[in-house]
Amino acid sequence: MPEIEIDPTTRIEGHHSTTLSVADGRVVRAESEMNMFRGIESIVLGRRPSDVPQVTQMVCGVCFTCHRQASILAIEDAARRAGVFGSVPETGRLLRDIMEGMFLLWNHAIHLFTLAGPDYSDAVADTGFARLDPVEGDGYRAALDQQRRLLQGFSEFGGRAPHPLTYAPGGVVSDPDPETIEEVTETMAALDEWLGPTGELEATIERARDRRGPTDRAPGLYDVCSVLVAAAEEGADGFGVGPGRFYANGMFYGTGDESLVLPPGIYRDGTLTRPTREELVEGITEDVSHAWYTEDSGGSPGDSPPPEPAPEKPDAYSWGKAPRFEGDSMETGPLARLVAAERDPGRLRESLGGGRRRSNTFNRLAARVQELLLVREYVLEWLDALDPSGETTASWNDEFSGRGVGFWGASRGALSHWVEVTDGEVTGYQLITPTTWNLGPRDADGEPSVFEAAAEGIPVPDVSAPIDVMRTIRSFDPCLGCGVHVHGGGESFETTIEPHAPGGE
Amino acid sequence: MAVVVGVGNPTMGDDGVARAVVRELDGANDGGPETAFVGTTALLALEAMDGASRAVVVDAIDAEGPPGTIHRVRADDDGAAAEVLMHDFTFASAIRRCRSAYDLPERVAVVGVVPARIEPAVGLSPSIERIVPDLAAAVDAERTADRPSGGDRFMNASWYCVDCEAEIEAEAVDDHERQGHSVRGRLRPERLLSGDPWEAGESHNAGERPEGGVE
Repeated sequence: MPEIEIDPTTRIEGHHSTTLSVADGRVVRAESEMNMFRGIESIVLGRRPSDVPQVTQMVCGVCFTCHRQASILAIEDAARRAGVFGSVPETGRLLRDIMEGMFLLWNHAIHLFTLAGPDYSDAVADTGFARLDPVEGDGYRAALDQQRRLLQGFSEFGGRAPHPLTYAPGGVVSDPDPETIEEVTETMAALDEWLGPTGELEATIERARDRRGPTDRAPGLYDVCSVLVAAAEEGADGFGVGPGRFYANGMFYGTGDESLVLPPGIYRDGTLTRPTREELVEGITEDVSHAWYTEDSGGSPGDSPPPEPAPEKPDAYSWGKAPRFEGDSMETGPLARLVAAERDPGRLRESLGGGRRRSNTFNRLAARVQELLLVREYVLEWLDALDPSGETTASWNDEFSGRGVGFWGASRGALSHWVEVTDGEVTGYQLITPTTWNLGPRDADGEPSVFEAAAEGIPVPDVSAPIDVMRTIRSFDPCLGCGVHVHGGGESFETTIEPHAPGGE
Repeated sequence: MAVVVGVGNPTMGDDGVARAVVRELDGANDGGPETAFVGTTALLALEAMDGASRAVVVDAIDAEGPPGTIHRVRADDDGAAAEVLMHDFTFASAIRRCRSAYDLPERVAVVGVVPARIEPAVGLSPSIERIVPDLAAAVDAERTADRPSGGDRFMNASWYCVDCEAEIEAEAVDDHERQGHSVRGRLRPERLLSGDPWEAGESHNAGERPEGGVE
């Protein structure tokens, strides 16, 4: 029974590895290891609330906007509960939705073309989809161009990318004129044209199945469908099967009533429920029994102190904690969001993924494609509804005491920030990220995380190349944060850093 | 060099599809593929492939799907997968038997299409006629996809036997395990499969590689 360590598992960022035990050609146990200490929670202590989003967004250069947004929502929630804040004006909310939506589209394009998509390209798996080949494929290059344009458009509203400057507690401090809105709309129209109509999903799947190549009407759709066709042909509906419990935070306020465009949801034992804020606050805990933190660092995130490292702790194998909802591991991500929203455009998951609520590697990919198409339509609607003369921000004052939670979605899944403010100063902070939900370690009962459970049983015909394990890890779109912050008190350190060249040493 | 080999009988309706594809490719010839239509004669196919580094065989095939469905079969392993061809010889046996006589390509791929009609007739049925440009594009894509095969494209593996305290070859893992040894593997995935993005094609948007490269 060889033990295999795969390191790194991700195509960008090097902070995740996995140790597999393989017996009789199958994975019998997986340990998911996060190889970094984030420490962002410690850095924000003692700061004023309105400074915090600027710090938390730097947890990562890929997931930047959502850590800004979740932080702002947490702080606004705390201020609202303290009775010193009302609500963000609709135009401000819509601007945030647009930026978050564009960010999500950018991220899903990265996933489908750079982080996970290459596993289904001709270069890796002889699938005949050379357009997906990294760096050289026509599909890859077209997507790269769209990603660039998306971030350029994003920075029209956000000031810059990554790490925008404009949304802050109270609203959005940029005030875009009609010309700027028009420019962003043109960017989105180009993306819309590249992707093509959602209604052609099923026909495009057929086209990709026959390797007929893209049409001018929907080149992007052809490429994302190629990923799905290759995944289906590689049997991805049959591996990477998680425990089948899903958790989604709601996201996007949109133009309608108070309900969220993508609603929150908990799916367990065949039942979908809409959790209230209180149920989530009560139900979410973090387990640290296999994480390199002191026991005090676990428990309810609203009450526990920021994580205190314990690198010598026996039985620990990860810098990630193990979040649980009412004691259960929960899968989160676009699949969880679309299960919660009860959406299955093109019936992709129903017809190719073994059922729209089935947890498997194919369905995770399919849900990303579906969300890419849906959110593209939403962002276009929101841009159309944006009133250039509307108020974008309410007045804001940091001087209050209270606790708040910001529930939001990163492209990778449910994200929550938890804050405690005392007399205008942050005294407690926790962030719980989708990747710890999906790829955290085991808990005190030995219950594996979603990925650890999903990896068990995956066939490994060639122990030197367990590609279906890689495909499964990447289907969760793991992102472990670029922000390796080491605080050394009064000491100073000097080190030489060799940046990674893609693909090589 | 890659060669496209069309196989089939144009007097049997859609079995002549490969000839139409070869003509389509020849018509669009811009220094592209070398092509040969060999009818149903194995020796001509072998002649056509002689000296090529890879071959793409086009034919009507008996496979799943409605008429017009395009299938791709790769036959890196001595053409074993090419048994799907609908003729009185198989490429698998022809290639296996004739390796010593011909300089045959290591990689043979088959791009096939499910026919609508196989009966004495000249000319293709309309549904197959329509698919010819797509089939030619699929053949061309197959011809130009140029990658080594095997897992080492995306994973660098090293193996260590804890009991022998030595690095071992991947092939030796089973032996050591049979002796009750504890074996550990360390896999380092290739990330973007390209050692140097600056050399990834001439139309790169980022322009010239900076002086001295990226350190």
